[in-house]
Amino acid sequence: MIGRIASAEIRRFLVTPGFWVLAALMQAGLAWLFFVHLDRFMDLQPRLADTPGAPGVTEMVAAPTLMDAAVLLLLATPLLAMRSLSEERKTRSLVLLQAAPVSDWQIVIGKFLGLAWMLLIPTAIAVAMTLTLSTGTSLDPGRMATATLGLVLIVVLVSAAGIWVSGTSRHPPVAAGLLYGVFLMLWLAQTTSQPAGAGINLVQWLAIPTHLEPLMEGHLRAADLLYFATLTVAFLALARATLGRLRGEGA
Amino acid sequence: MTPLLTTENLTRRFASRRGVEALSLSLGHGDIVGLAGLNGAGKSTTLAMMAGVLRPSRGQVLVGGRSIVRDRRARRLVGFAPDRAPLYPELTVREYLDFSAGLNGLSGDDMKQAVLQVMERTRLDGVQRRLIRTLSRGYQQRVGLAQALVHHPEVLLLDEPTDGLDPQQTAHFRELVRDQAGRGAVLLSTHQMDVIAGLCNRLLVLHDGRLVTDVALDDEPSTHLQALFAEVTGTEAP
Repeated sequence: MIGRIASAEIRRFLVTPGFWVLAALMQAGLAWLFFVHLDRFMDLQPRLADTPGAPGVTEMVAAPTLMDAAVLLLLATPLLAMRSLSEERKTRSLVLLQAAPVSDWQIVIGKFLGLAWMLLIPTAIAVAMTLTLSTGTSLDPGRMATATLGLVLIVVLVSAAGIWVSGTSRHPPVAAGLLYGVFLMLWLAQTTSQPAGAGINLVQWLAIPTHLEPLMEGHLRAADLLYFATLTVAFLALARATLGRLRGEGA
Repeated sequence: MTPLLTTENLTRRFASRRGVEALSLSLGHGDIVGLAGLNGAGKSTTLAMMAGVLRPSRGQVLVGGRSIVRDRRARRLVGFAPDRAPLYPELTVREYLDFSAGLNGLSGDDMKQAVLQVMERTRLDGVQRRLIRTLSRGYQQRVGLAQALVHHPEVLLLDEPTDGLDPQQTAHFRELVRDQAGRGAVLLSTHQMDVIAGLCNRLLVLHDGRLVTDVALDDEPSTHLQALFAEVTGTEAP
């Protein structure tokens, strides 16, 4: 049943011009940023060649491009996610799912997988874009693998958050605005002040860059994987609770 | 005979308005029940609770002896067409009905057969490849009805089903409902007494969330029903 809901969701995205326009804009923006990083690297490359331990093309072009892709995903997700539950509440098509013999968990997971799958398309293209560098130079495979994993984990996290926030309002623009707010907080939480010498506080722990940057730098740490898993499950549980509330109050 | 659908003390309260109060009734095989009431009387709330879309504040809905809230299998026995059809406008009619059938547990050849059959019953075969958003309102209503029928439900719940239908479509709708009553029970809410008079064998009237009338019908003219409705709701007969 989850597969049916996910595939219907994917089908609905694929026939929507808005998705393709957004995907094209993302790719255009990412391509521009990729060339900016590449251009800077080409400028510095003669000096870097003589410096022992200098950063290579993976550090200076591929990883920053994938980090940019993560930011673009955060910008694009609210525009896609708002249709998942919010638009269904607005058009009252959610009744189709609520009246069917499927659980609220199945609805949430199906919609989550559908959205995540769609976001994996531009993600795959972003990774492929950076891999084209390997035709002219050698990339650090370990760092590329952790950076790609980081990007996939971002897709999973933002999809879960998107499904949850999308269900909180029957007005899609409001849902999108709320989701931008959530992402902004999760991104900027890293900048909260902390006394020198102290570890990170809870707010900083909640920040996406705290856990994404190590992956982009090639460090695979259990704590970061736990962060993404915890937040994803928490957002999905909130989405499930929101659907339950809608059944209690009327969508 | 065991009723197909039973409500026991079904109650729904909202913060700002009264919903439905202590509604107890049952629907049996062959019943075509008209549910009438003024705007805000609780008709749509009642249907939404019967379909499992809205949780009651108190009481329960049993379908085939199973609670519609606690046992998802009960929902497979119910077809629900709300007043605004729950459509995906970006899908074709066929894709949408395939999805709806799949949601209700049909797959493979059973699903294919069920979808072909319901498209024939609702006369949608000619538009099966059309995107739903390109269809007229009448056709969209039919798609909404088809999704409620596709999984062969025993109980069909229809909220204002004849709104937006032309006379020819309304006549076809009546045939469909009579045919469906041969397979189970139909409960339809409407403001149109002529629809109830020409179709239903039982009338329920809700007023301020309470069931005030439950009478069997036997070819009563719609003027009689209008007079009865006016009497029990304290309004003026047209």
